Amino acid sequence: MDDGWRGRLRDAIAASGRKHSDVAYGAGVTPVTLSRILNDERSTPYLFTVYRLARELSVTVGWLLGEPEFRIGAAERAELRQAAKTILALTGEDDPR
Amino acid sequence: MTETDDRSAQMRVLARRVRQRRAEWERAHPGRRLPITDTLSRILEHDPEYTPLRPRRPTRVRPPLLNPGIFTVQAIARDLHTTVGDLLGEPSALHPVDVLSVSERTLLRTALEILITRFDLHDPDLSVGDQVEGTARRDETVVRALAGRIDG
Repeated sequence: MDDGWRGRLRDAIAASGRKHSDVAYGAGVTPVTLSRILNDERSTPYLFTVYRLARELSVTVGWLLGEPEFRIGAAERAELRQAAKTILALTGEDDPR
Repeated sequence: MTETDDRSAQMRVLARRVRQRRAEWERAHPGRRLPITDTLSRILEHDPEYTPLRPRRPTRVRPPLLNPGIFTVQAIARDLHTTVGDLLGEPSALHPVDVLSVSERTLLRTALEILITRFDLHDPDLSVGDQVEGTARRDETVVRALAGRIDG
């Protein structure tokens, strides 16, 4: 795992405007644990430590890890709309029953 | 809900997703199997619908994993060609197959199969037609742009 996620965690804490200790207690971890996660590149946090921190900061674990999100883009929606128009024209827009 | 309940529920979500994604991957790659490691097995045991290849020995010491390392889950997600967010069921990390229900996917697939069959959409000449049409559209755009310059 690259270090980018630690940067995103730092950014999320900064964006919350809260103290590190406040975020840590809110997530049910000690400030020492949070400090270790943020600063020790060898630390291997547990899933639910990251999960609780993410929830406390109103972000997702996926966002913290820098994972891509699934979205249908505008170009794909336009293609789908064109396909839908063609199918409607072929089948008749009224209910065929 | 206590923290333990919350964690157990989340582990069940994780285990169910791992099982589903594994099954999807194996359907997409016939004849190939994703191996179940000891760690993966200890996660999958949270899913009531998971059937291990061999029954768990009563003397087995290692219990199901209650809190795997984030790196462990990330490695599992990578093996399954998905994300940790997807395995946790996070709304921002929807997998393409989650956008449509199974019945909707079946319906769409049936409709597409009808269209493909009735209109012979596998005809190789159609791809040539696309290129010709695309070229014609580009040419028309150029003509219009030039006409605009002349008019202006």
